[in-house]
Formats: sequence, C-alpha cells, structure tokens
Amino acid sequence: MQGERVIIRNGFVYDPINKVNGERMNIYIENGKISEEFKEEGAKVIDATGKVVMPGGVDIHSHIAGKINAARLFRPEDHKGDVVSKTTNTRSGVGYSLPSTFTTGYRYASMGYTTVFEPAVTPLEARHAHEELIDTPIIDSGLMVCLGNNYFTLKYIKEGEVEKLKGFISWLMKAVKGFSVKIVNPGGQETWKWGKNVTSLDDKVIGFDVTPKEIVTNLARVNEELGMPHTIHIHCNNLGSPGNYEITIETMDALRNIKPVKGRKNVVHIAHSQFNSYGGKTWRDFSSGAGEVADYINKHSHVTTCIGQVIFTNTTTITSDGPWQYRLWLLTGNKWTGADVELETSGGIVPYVFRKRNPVNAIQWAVGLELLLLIRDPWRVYLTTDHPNGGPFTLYPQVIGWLMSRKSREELLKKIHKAASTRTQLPGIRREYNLEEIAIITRAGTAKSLGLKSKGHLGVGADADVAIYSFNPEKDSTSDYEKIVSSFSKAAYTLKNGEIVVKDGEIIGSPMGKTFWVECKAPQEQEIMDDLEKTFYNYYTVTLTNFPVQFDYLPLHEPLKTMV
Amino acid sequence: MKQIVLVPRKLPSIPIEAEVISPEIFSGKNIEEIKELQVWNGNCKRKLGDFFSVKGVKSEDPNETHIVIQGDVSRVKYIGKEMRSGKITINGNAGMHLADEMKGGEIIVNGDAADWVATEMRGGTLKIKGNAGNMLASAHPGSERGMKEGIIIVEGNAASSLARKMRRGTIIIYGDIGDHAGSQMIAGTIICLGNIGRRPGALMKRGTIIVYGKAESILPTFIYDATYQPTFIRFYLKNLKEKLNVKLPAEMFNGDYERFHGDIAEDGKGEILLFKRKP
Repeated sequence: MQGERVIIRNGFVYDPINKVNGERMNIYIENGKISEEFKEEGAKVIDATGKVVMPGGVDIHSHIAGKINAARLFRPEDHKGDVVSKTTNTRSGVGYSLPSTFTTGYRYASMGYTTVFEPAVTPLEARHAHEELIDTPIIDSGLMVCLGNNYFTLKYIKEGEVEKLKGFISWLMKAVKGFSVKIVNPGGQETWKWGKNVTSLDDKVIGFDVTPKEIVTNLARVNEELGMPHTIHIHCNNLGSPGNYEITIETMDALRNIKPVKGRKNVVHIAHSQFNSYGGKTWRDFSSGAGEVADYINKHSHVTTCIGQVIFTNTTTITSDGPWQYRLWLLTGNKWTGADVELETSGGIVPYVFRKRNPVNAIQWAVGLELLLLIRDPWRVYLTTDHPNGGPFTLYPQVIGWLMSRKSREELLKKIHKAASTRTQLPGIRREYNLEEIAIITRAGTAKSLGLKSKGHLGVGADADVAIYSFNPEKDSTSDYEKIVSSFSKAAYTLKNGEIVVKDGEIIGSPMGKTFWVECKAPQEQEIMDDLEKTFYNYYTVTLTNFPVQFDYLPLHEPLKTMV
Repeated sequence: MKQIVLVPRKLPSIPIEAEVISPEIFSGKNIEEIKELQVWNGNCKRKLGDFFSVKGVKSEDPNETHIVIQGDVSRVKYIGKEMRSGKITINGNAGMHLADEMKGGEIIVNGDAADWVATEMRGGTLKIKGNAGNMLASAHPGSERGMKEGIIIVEGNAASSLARKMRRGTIIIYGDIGDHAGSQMIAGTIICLGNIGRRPGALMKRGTIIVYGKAESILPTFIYDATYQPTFIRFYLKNLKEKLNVKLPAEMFNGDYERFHGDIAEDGKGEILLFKRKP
C-alpha cells in the first residue's frame, strides 16, 4: 500500500530469478514494491524465522473466468457440497471444482498465489470475462484469447495474408484487452461445425482449405513478429485420445524453426501436456507417452509446457475443444453441454470423476508426474491441474507433495490401478524436487514464460507479492508429504502489493487485483478495418463499434508493451 | 427409550426451519438447553422454546432418544434433518423437508406429510400413516442421486414425482401414486398397492416398479416382455410382510404380472411389473 513499509525478517528466501536459494535474509517492501534496505523504524515487521519466503504464486493456466460461468450454472451439485459462509473480511460463496468468483480469489490467495491467468476466452466473451475478473479479488490476472479457429485467422491464412493476420491480432488484443494468443485444437473446432474433427496436422479444415500445421506456424510467426510477451499457448489436437503423444511432438516440431522474438528462446507453450502425452492405440492398450514428449522437450529449447496434472477427485471438464467434450460425453454418459460461438470457437462441459481403480485415470495421474519429473529443466515445465479439468487448483499442494516426496508417490501407486505401475515409467523415477525447483515451477518459471517482469521474483522494483509458508527447510523433512501439503495449502502470510491479505491461511484483506493486457501497435491494423466492418455487419451478432471492451470493465489494469 | 415431548404453541404463518429437532442434537441436553436451541423463522433467529413447550427426560444416548411431537407441525421444516439414530414420532401433520438426507433411525408420522419429504434419504425407516406430498424421496434440484438407502412406507397416497433419481432402497405406497413416479430412477424398488399416474419410470436406468392397481399410461419407450409369475416377488413380498409388517393382498404373492422393460431412451434395464387381475 502507498506509504506503508514492511519488513519480512529472517525467512529462508527462495527467489530463483535472482539466484537466491534458501538464504536467510530480510525482504524490504515500500509503496507496494520490493525496495532497497531501509531502517526498521515505523515499518511493519513480519517475523518469518523458520519459514519459507517465496514470491507470490503465478498460475499460467487456470480457468477462472469466461465459460466457467456456464459450468457453474450446469453443476449445482458441485456447489452443494462446498458452501462457504461470509466472514467479516470475505464474502460468501460456493463451489468445489467451480468456485464462485470471490471464493476463487480467496482460495488462491490463501495458497500464496497472487497472479492467475485465464487461458481460454473467446473474443465475444471477453467483456463478460473481464466482469468476472472484477469480482475475483486479490489476484492479478490476464486473458488468453482463443484464436486458433477464428474466422479471420483462418481466412487470412488461407489467403496467405500474414500481414493482415498480424494487424488483426494487434487490433483484437487491444479491442478485448487480451494478453496472449491461445490456440485450442487448431482447425478442429471449425471442422466441428460440420460434426467432424481433425486428427492430424495435415488434415484440411472444411471450408478454408488450411491445415492445423499452417494455423499454428502462422500464428507462432505472427506472435513472435508482434513481440507478444507470452508465446502462443497451444491446446494440441487429439487431446485426451490414446496415442496422441505423436501429434504433440509433431506440433512442437513444426514450430522448431520459428524465430523467437529478441529476449527469449521459446516460441510455443504446450498447455496441459499431460492430456496430450498418451501412448497406445485404443483405450485397452492405453499407456504413457510422457517419456517421448519429455525427451523431445529436453532436447529442444523452444518449448515450455504446463502439466494439467490429474488428481483423483470429482471435477468438471471445461474446454473450448467442442468435439473432444462430445466424445467425453459419449465415453462417460455424464451430462454434457456444448456451445458454438459464432465465428470464433466452440466449447463444451462434462462433469468427470477421476477414479483410482480406473486404469486410464491411474495412467493419466502417472503421466502428469512423469512429465514433471522427466523434463529436466524446471524453467520450462510448470505445475497446473488445468483447473478444473484435472482437478481443482486447491489441490496443487498435493502435487507439490508428490513431486517432493518419492515415498508418497509410491504409496499412492500401491493404492491405485496397477496399470499406473506397469504402463508408465513413474515407479522407476527417483527424482525428488527441492524447494527451489518448486518455486520455479509455481512462480518464477511461469512469470518468466508469461513475460511478466514485475512478478515471480523478489528483486528490487518487483511487485511486493510474497508468500510465506510454515515450512522449515532445516528442520522439516522435504519428503514429509503431510507437512508439505499442510504448509502449502495454507500460507502463513500472503502479501499482495505489500498488503497482508492472508494470515495463517485466513483472509484478512481483499484488495482488487489488476488485469494485464498487451498493447500491440502493428501498422497493419488500418488495412483490415474495412474487412472487419463488413464481416461484423454481415455475420456477427454485434457491430464492430459495440465489440471492443471499454476501460470501464478494467478498473485496475496494466498494459504491457510488446517486445519489439 | 426416553421420551422428550414437544407440543407446538400457536405457530406463526411464516414457516419455521427446525433442523435441530433431531435425536443427535437433543441427546445429552437437558430440557432448558433444548429450549435454547436456535431455529429460523423467516430471516429471524429464534429459539425452539419460543414455539414449542418441551417436557420429558434427558437422554445421553441418541439411540435411546425418542422425540414425540404432539400436534400439527405442517409449517415446521427440516425436522429430523440428517438424523442417524433414535426415533421421532409426529402425532399430527408434518411439514416440508422432513427427514431430509436422513441416515438412520426411525420417523413415524401419524398424519400427512408435505412436499420434499425424505429427500436424498440415506438410511433408516420413515412411516407416514396419512398421505405424502410431491417429491417424496427425490433428489434435491440439481443433484445426481436421490434416495440412496432406507425404507419408506406410506399408508395413504403419494403425490407426483415420487423417488426422482432414486438409487437404492424400498418405497411402499398403500394408496395411489401421482404422475412421474420413479423418473430418472437409477435403481431401487417402488411398490404401489393402488393406482399409478402417468409416465411412471420415465428415463429410468434400472430399478423395479411394482403396481398392484392400474397404470394410467405406460410410456412408449417401455417394451412389453411377458406375463409371468416372478419368483423373486414371492420372496421379496414375504420378507416385507414378515420383517416390516407390511399389509399386502394375498393374491399379490402368486399372481401374474405383465413385465415392461425400459426406459429404452436410457439404459433400458428398468422394469415395471403390472399385476394382472384374473377375469
């Protein structure tokens, strides 16, 4: 807060970006930013002796706004079992896998997370997503915009007008106040409008005569040429299907020769790669393909990935991947809702229970951990559950526990279907994460991948988002699963812009979070305005003038500059 | 069993929500403490003693607690909510949400019961001497499963939407049942000794509906299989008669039944057994 000074004293600081690894030191905060050392007089002192101090968590992929609202309406039974009463500091709410907006903010903050990115917003839904972000307290956020099946994307790629595509994306990011380019099942959703799907990178998209490979390579090229802070964010084709590790590797390989923008090495982020790293040919011989995917990522520096770890629980699957959600409905028989968003994308929702005794679910659980453990560079693999698809974000501490404690993984392996032991490499993996690596996969790495300079570290000038956990690296065993889960579930303190928002896991303050968006300035924007106007007039339900999201919907926001 | 007697005073027109009337909550409390228990009257917090006079003997064990309500409580909701043990007797009409998610014990209503009674029941026994309202033994709106376990015996009629999304358990209705009985039923047994209304078993996956009287209509998604004398019915009804003292007509035991299977719009493993009278 303005004028307020805080000192976090004597904690074990893990700040991988600034190469601080568990050193005992003080953190100084002034005016909501990390500052140089100052005198103690008049400052608020937080004693972090025997505690771990990390930058506030940064989640790269969690569905917290946008179509999750449809899922909330769709699953009253999810709310019934998890009702949160109001307190003097917090509002009431509901929801286990689909928490209401306020509860989402509170729960993230109590885990020490302060920045969360919503990874799939259709341009038409952006206004609503921003409205939800207004009601999601504490956490900073940003919206990734689905562009892989957008009419204009496909049209300009078909016509070979890459410059116009650049202009379109530049204009769109400004119009919807978006943060980055998301691609969901490239080409598949457009084909789904005809009840079909694409299954290889060289299939033709009906009506446009372009292939998924052309879509991803063109968007990646445009993304890098525009200098977006984050790379393209891909949900690959064939998600959830046996044998899909091949198309995942093909997708990554198709982007190998794209020239990254100056200042970073990677050009693509593969979202929830766990759902795209399966071997086998049918559900019967379903197995892990994580080894191959991890091997590719280890050998190629242009890829980052987040996992989408599966947790055994009753959750909800929500994706823009309409055809996959339809297939999942056929597989499970659970209720299903699907949507087709005009010229932009599709969507679907199916409730799902991941069961320990189900061989496929057990393998899925193991695949996520295999990827996290086999990819050697923690700076390029991030912890997510693809909330709520693999499990609610509130269960991240369990994943941290499994990564840090080999014993806990082995104990759970004994309790679940034996397929997880026989058809994956997990039982043979000895690696255990240390606290520095956990800090990288949950905050430093994600902040770096998103291109956020002020997040994910505790260097001077960074936003004073700090998480303090009651875990003593000198006394507590790092393989004590219960201790890890309890300390990471309830942060001892969470600070947001220097304000204490959480103490002992309880919310004591709930300031509003800000929204990041990217201000592109491509000169090609002017060329396409006539085209946009005509298409909006003819085919959209809104006119071009009513389409952009006004600043009224972003009470607190920070436009980021492009990297060129 | 140690009795605690509640006598309602003049009840307000706005219903009272009294989930505290439950053997688990009453046991271990003396009469004064029971009077202090909180109930809701609209949006006002009130005390149980404001609406009921309480007499009786303190009981330490919920299994040994017997709550007797003397009088009409048709505007008191949630009596016996989530109760696990003990007994409640209501000598009068019961209000909505009686036995909501009841897990065990016994409730006897010597009168009629309102709507939404025994919603998502998970065990225990409920006996209603009069008529039951709509949505008896159903699922809460939006829930995946309704009644999961337990026995319900209604000596009068039951209204519409009986046992929606029922998963397990037994329901016996001496009188007639309204429309939409056993809709979206997943499993379980409903026995109707009177007539059954329209569309019984719509969208049922599994489960059995046995009708002694007439069925007003059977959906076209139910397929006629055969007229036969199911062996299991003899054992099943014998069991009900001996263990639960259910009064069943003698001809039901060895009679002919028309079997329909459905709902073929769903799994189609459910069955409706219609008793066939001899001409």
